[in-house]
Amino acid sequence: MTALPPEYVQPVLLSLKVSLVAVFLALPFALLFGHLLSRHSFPGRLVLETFLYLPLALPPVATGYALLALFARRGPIGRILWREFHLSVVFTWQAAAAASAVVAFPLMLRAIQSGMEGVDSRLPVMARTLGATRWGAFLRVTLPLSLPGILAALLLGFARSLGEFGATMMVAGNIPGVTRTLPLAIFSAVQVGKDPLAARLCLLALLLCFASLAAGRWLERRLGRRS
Amino acid sequence: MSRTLRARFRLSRGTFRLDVSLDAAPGLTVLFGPSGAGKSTLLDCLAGLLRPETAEIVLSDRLLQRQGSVFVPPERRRIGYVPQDLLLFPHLTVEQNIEFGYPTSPSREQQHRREVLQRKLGLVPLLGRRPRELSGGEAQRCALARALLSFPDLLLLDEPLSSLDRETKERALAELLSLKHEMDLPILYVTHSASEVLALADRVILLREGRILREGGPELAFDVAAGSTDTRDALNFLSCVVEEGGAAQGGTRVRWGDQTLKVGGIGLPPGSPLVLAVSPHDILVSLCSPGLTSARNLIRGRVTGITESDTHVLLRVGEREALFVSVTPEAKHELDLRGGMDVYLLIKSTALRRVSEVPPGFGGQGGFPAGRGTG
Repeated sequence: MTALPPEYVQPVLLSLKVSLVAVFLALPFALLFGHLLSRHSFPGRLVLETFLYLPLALPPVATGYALLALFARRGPIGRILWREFHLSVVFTWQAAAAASAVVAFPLMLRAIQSGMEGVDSRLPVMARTLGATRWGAFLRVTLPLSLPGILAALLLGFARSLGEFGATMMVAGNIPGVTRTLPLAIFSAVQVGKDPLAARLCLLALLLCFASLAAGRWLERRLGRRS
Repeated sequence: MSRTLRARFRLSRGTFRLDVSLDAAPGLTVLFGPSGAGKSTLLDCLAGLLRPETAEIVLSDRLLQRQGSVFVPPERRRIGYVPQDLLLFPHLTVEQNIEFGYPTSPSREQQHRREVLQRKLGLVPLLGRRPRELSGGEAQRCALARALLSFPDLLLLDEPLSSLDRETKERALAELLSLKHEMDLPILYVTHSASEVLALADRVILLREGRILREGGPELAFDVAAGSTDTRDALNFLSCVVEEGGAAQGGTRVRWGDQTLKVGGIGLPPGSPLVLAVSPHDILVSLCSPGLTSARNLIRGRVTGITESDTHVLLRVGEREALFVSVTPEAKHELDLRGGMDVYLLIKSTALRRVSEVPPGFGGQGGFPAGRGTG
């Protein structure tokens, strides 16, 4: 068996890396807002919730464009990053990860929020009468009990990131070996008429998605049996 | 340090108003009242889960709350809470549950108390299980241990026995009774059940529509309980200590308050605590000393309470350690029984049965068929 040529390997590895980084980038925010939305009511909640779920409905290309406008070297955030840290994010694999994170975020939030809503709100209260602080009650009770939801969030986010195309292309471009993820590689192959390559890449994508979904389901079932 | 509670507060929620002022000393205070009287709300206010508009709560000389200036959060109140639905942590084992509020560096005495409590409540064989693998009685004991092992200064019990079947409930009552005697802390106990009031209460607070209607000692407990309907199943629970073993003949002698009772042979060494139960129907009343009878126990006492319904009369005999005795209206009439009279009570030694706090051979039965739930 010969080693696969880099035109196959590179996009696959890159996609895996980008997706992994993306979900763990989005996770803390999804946990924070998931907890906030599942437990508290406050003025402006509806507006915040709608805003957070916006990337779900917005065309990814539009989300990508917004990110580009923000993070470009002359954009409001990009300027600061450049001035303070001499950092330029756009057209790097990190930008691809950030774009995937933003697009995957609403799905992750949804899963975590409903996971936390499923936890009896009096359980953390009970923990507090036993001496746990607010934070301790969250870590020791709410968080472990919403683990299935968190796992589902990671899985959904990862799957969504693997397929991310529009937003990634806008902020990260389509640079071979740098930001050309699997979907972009398929698109590029079709563009230049390399149909067999495109077909094989599609097959790889299929295998990858199948494997990650199956792994996720397996973990979920193991976890379900334990708690 | 005196472990006492002094609390006054007022709270409005919609049309409901709670306005109470209560003191509780070590011992068990029953909060009795119809649903909607505000019993659970009261417990929530004490535990710091609700913020009353005006409040002053002092526990063991610590100021927990004063409106506007002081609000000690629940985690620093040292108030153990066993809610009606127990709320065990489903993702933790029994051991992890009961250790939840246990100090990270316990003193030797705390370690000792943990071991004793685990054994006493029969939790040792259950430590590896998860809450969903427990029977009702087991879960209840687990929740009780969890609250007690956070070493609280006040214990709140919200209808802790309401979901148990009769037999389990009897055992749980016996446990609570002996725990109550061992622990020097105030317990607030919410219940609807008259038999629980009779068995446990040192004091009773009668709550109605958010206000305290009456409060008083065990006599009030008797009045309150006897006025309700389910006293027929009520039992006398006697917290005793074995005085002399001698199982061969004549049975065991036990001390109950300042009385000595004889019971059927109990294989326990002198000094062992035990709880005996006797039904109010199994006690005979006599106006004069009956001379020689086959009943092994003769107790002299004063009638301190009497209530009557169409079908039966319930007497309370004794001051602090009291027995409830059921007689027919006809007997009451013929003997002309009245409060303040001195009477003799006759109890057969076989009518006094031992309530084992933890059923013998426990751990193998318990109503859970499959494995030990380690996976």
